[in-house]
Order: sequence, then C-alpha cells, then structure tokens
Amino acid sequence: MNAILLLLGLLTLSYVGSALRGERAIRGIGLASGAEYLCLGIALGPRLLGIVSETLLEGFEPLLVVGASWVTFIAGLGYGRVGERPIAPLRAALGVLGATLVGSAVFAAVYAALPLVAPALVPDRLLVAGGAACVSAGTTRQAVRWVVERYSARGPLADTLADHARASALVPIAGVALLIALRPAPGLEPMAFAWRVGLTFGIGALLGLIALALLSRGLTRDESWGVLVGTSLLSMGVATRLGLSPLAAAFALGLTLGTLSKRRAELSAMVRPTERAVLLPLAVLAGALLDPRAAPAAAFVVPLALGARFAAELVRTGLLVTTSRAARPAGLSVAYGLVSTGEVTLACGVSIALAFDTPPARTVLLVAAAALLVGEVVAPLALRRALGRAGELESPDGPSWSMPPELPARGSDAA
Amino acid sequence: MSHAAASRAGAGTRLIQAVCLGALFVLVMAATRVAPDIGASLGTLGAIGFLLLAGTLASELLEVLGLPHLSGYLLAGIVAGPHVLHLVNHETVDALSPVNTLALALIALGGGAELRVSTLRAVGRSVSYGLSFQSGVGLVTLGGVFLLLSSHVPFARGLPWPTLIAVALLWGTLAVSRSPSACLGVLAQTRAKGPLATYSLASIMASDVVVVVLMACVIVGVRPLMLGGGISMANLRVLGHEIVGSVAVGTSLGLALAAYLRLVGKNLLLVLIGLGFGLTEFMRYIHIDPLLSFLTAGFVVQNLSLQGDKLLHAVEQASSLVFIVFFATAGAHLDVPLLRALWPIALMLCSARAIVTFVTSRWASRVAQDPPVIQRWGWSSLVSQAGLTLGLSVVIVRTFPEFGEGFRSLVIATVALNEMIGPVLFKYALDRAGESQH
Repeated sequence: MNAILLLLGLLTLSYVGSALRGERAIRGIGLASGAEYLCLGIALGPRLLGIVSETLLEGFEPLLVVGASWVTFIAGLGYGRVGERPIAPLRAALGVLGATLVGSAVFAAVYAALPLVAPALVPDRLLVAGGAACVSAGTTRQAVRWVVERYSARGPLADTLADHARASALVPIAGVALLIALRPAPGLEPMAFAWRVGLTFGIGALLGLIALALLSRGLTRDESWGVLVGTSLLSMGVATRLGLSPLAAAFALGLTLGTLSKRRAELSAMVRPTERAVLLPLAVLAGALLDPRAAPAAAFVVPLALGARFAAELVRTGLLVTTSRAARPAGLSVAYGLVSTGEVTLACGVSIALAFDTPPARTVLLVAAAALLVGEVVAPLALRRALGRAGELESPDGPSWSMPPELPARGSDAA
Repeated sequence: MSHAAASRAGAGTRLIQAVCLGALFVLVMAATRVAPDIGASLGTLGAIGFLLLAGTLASELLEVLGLPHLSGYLLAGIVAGPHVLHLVNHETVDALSPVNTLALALIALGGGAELRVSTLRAVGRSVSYGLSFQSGVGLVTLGGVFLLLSSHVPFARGLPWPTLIAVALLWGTLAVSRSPSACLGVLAQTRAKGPLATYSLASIMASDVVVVVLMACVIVGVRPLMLGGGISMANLRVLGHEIVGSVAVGTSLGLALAAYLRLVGKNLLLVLIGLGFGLTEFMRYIHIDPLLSFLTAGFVVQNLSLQGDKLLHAVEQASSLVFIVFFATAGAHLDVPLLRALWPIALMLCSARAIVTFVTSRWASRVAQDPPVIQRWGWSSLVSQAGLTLGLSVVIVRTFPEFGEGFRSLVIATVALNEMIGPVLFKYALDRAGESQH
C-alpha cells in the first residue's frame, strides 16, 4: 500500500469517527474504547496481512505523535469538568490519588517481578515498570459515558465514577512526562531531572498563555482554529525536538486554556468533534505498530500488569465503598468497571513506543493494547451492574434510544 | 484576524501580538540551539505550528503599515527559513511540500466556484477583450522582456537558445497570471460594490481558467524545445487528451461534489483534504491536469447546482489555515542569497509586467468601450500575484527540475513584490472609484 492510499484510508476512518461522535451514535454503534479499530490495525499491520508495512508506519510516525498529543490536548482542555459541571476539588483529588495508587501498584509489581519473569528486560526495568504503570493508571471517561448514556443512568455513583475517570487522566500523562524526561535530547542532559519535567509542562503552559492572549482578542472561528492548531503543533514539535513528552506539553497547553480562557466552552465545542476523528486512525496505526515478536517478554509482563491492576482496583474500590455512601450498594463490582482504558492509555502507549523504540517500549505498547481490550470486555458490563445495584439505571433492561435532554449535562462527559 | 476585528485592534492588541511573536521566536530559537540535530519528519510538526502562528502574527502586525496579510506570511517564512534564522531547515521545507498540493487544489476549486455565469454575462464583453489582450499580447511581450534580460538572470545564463525561448514562454505565461485570493481579500475588506468590483472579480476568476489552460499548452509546447525535435501530432493529441480529460474529470467531480453537498453536506474539511491529496495524485497518475479539473469542478458546483455557496464556505474554512502554511513555506523556500543577486532583475521584470498590464488593459477597455471607471482603473486589480502563480511555479519545478529551482526563486521574488504593491493599488482604485463601502 502506498502512503497516499494509507492517508486516504485514515481520512476515511476520521470521517467515520466524526460521524460516530453524534449523541445517538455513541449509544448505538461502536465500542466505548475504540478497541475494534485497534484490532483492525493489528489485522492490517505488518505482522498479519501486511497491508500497512513497517516503512509506511515509519513515514506516518509524525501523524501518530500528532494524534496521540491531540487526544491529550483535548483531555487537558476539558480537565476538571464533566460536561459543563465542574468536578469538586476533593473528588478530583480522590480521582488522582486513586489512579496514582493503581499506577504505583502496577509499577511495584512489575518492577519487583521483572527479574523473575523477564530477566532480559532488567536493564530497562524502570521503563517497563513505569510504562506499564502509565498505561494501567487511567480509567477512560468514554466507558462511563457509554454506559451512562446507553442505559440512561443518573445518580451520585454515576457522577462519582465520571469524575474519577476524568480526573485520572492526569496520572498517566504525568507518568509519561517523567519517563520520557529520563532520556532527553543530548543538549538537555546537563539539566536536572525535575527541571526537565517542569520544562515539559512549561512549554505547554507558555504556549497556552500565548494562545490565551491571542484568543482573547476577538478572533473568528477560523482564526481561533489557527491559534489552536498552531500552538498545539508547536508544543508537540518543540517537546519532541528537546526529547521531552509531546503528550504532556499538549496536555499542559489544553489545561492552561481550559483553566484560564473565558472561551473554554466554545473551544471545547470546537475541538470535541475532532476527538473521535483522531482516535480511530490513531487506534488503527497503534494496532499496526503492535509487534509481539519484538517483545517476547510481553507474554509475562501483560498478565502481571493486568493482575496487579485488578488487585489495585479492588483495594481502591474498597476505599471508595467505605468512604462513599453512593458506592456502597454497588459493592466491589465498581472495581471491574474502573479497569476500562481508552484514548489516553492508547496515546501513552504509542508515545512511549515511539519515544524509546526498543523491545521494552514495545512491551509497554502491548500492555496498553491488552489493557484496552480486557477493559472493553469487562468494564461496561461491570459498570452496568454497579449502576443497576445502586439503582441509578433508568432503563436497566436495554439500551435507551431516547435520551432526556437534560441528561448529558449531569451524567455524561460531553467535553 | 478578521477585517472587522482588525479594524477594532488597538495599540494594546498590537503590543500583545508583537510580544507573542517575539516569545515564539525565542522559544523556537532556544529549542533549535539546545537540540540542533533532528530528523526532518518530526521537525515538520513544530515547523507547521510555528509558521502558522508566526505567519498569522506577522500579517497582523504588517497590517498596521497597510500591507496585505500575504506579505506577513511570506516574511515570517523568509525570516524563519534556512537562509536567515535557520529555524526551519531545508529538509523540513521539503517535507512541507504536500501542503502545496492541498493549497493548489483549494485555490483551483475556490476559483472555479467564484466564477458565476451571471457575472460573466454581465461583463462578458469587457472580460473577453481584456483577457485576449492581456493573455496574448502580455504573454508575448513579457516573454520577450525575459529574453532581453536573460543574460542577467543567473539560472538562464548559458542556456541554449531553444531552452531559453522555452523558459521565456513559461515566464510569459506565469506573468499573465493574477491573484484571486488577493482580489477577494481586498473586496471582502472594502465590501466594494460597483462596476469595477464586478469586472475585477469576473476578470481575475476567468483569467484563472485561461492561465491554467495556457500553462498546460505551453508546457506541452515547450517540451520539444527542451528535449529537441518539434511539436508533433502526438504532442497535440496528448494536450487535447489532457485538457478534454481534465474538463471531463472535473465535471464528474463537480457533479459528485454537488450531490454530496446536497445529500450529506457534513465533514467537508475531511472531504476536501481527501480530494486535495488523493485525487491530485490520481489525476497526475492518469495524466490529467489537477488544476484544470478542480477549477472545472468548482465551476460546475457553482453554476449547475444550488450548492455553490456551501462549497465556497467550506473551501474558505479549509484554506484559511492551509494558505498561511503554504505562503510561509514559500517564503522559507526563498533562496535569499539568490534573491540578493536577483532583486534588480526582479524589480525590472515586475515593472515591465506592471507597464504591460496597464497598457493592455487600457487598450482592451477602449476597444470594448467599457465605462470610464473600468477604462481608468480596470488594470489595478491585475497587478497582484500570489497563490496561483506560486502553484504554477511548483508545477514548472516538477516538470523541469533542471532549471526549476532558480526559476521558482525568481518567481517568488517577483510575487513578493507584486503582492506587496498589487492589493494596495487595487484598494486605492476602489476608494477612488467610490465603490468601497467603509
């Protein structure tokens, strides 16, 4: 396949993604995480059908970087809010702490067990354990949104889960920033590690402030697009050039704009349709990038990371059930609902695989893909059961095709 | 910034824009210093973002001096490019070439969609006389001027006579191309209404078609001059196939686009990007002229359906970002050392073009018995050159790589001058003719 055909294929997927983002579509068509497109990528990739070759994938690396970073930019822009509803600071902190707990557990398990299960990866122990932690820490807001919208769920537990899922996005992105800052461009090596991490977010914040200054001067919609696209591409480009994480820089840019801009709602409405349009090509290319032969240790690392995550989610849910009255009726089934991963996890896995491009990094991408697929199988059903037990499903017997108009503002994560 | 917004922009806004532009340059310079070596592919991301922002801000700041936005885009590209600050290197500039493909498709599609039959009918006589004089006399005269000055043009020195004649004909054809984007920009800014505005719009859009067809003819015609031999029937058959085929493909594309706009009408940005990249490659593969095809497609949508305005709006949205990168990349591509050597010749060629445009336009207007306002000011909109000319120069570079780069540098130099002077002249003429609404 030549590059133009692949590009047209990706544009077609973007088109499909844009069409699927409609409110009705998300409740009726497609999986919450976009896992089916990851599988399509695996099938088209060099390891199976070979329609997308290694050389083509290399040529499309910049598109992967842009796609992954754009996903985190959107996450940053909407961070701290579910739709138009702001997340309470305490709940946001709990969401971040919960994700940190899960990530730390996975890190500890993989770090400790790696010499036993995959001695060949011990020199890259930090990368494998850190990467596995990053791609296991987050919970996708899309899964919660999917269940909430499909079964017309509303209530305190649905809100709590949506808040936790939204807040958790910070942890994997910060983790990737830390990991990639371990190996910066040669010119940045003399700088202290903490400064490098600060610089990663600083680039995004600086460009966010520039975008903020420009956007506050009464730009038209087209001109606003120019500023958004220009600053985000520049943040990705500068971070990549310095050997830092483009994901974290783009997230910081989005976060700065989302926090400080008076036009936040308008900007969110502008970029929202692009998320699915970017995610589907990203998932296909990520699927094509998966290479079990380049990461033989994945057979041990993947179950280890997933097992550690399930265990950590049970502990986290135990704490949640103890402290939250709304979660009590649902019990530990909430834990299985929280294992769903999606766009941010995929972006982190892709970013690590591209930044390091070594077998250990490919192992991390495989962990991300496995987490995505397992989460897709387990989480929606578990979430439905949990919300059902909590008495928050308005149509527990089947999908709801007619949403009450006020529902998205309360329970769904529109932005 | 929109013209309405721009007119409201005060000193505070300009100061913020200047500070932001400075901060961007400092950020990118620091990154380039710390990590000078990087593959072109990943540098491309930052380059697109930087050119987009720097071009936008530079254009806003130059607006204070009455200069058009395009000059700002070009200037940002020149300053950031490999010959001045080296923030965007040669490899990155080459990697940005797909933007040219997309920009050309959008220019042609938008140009065709601006060509309304009703407008053409209203000023048909004036436009047809004007086009005949300017294209016929202009091409020959300006080609002749190039031949006369060729001993001072570095890339033309030492070329054999047949090749030199071929280059002169290509130059003459480029010299009669105009700038639809500059014309539309000034008309949008002034909200002008009247015979001069109508004539200028129709004349420039129609000249798009003429120049594209003319360029296809000249390229086929001059190939034997370069490679030896004469123009055979086979060459003419190829030309016929290319022109008729392009119109046929363009008509089919236009009908399909009109149907899509009517039945679906969503995600037009993705559709236009897909068409710009995918169809252009496909058309090249089957030896069809993409410019002529897209021009025809735009014309068909505008005049054979009710979807013209929707298409124009979509093209406008898509091109607002693409054009900034396109023009800024053209600036970055500018070979400054060569320009330093070329500026006297570029100035002479521009002056000759302006004089020939003035004379042929006045002459054609008199023969066509145009109203006095067109006789007096009709030439003013024809001085600008921009995207179409640069796009055609890209086609020439691709077709004749042996002298293409030098040729393109000269084109960029003359376009830069024409683009700075042309819109100012046109605006002045609209003001004097009393057609400006603000």
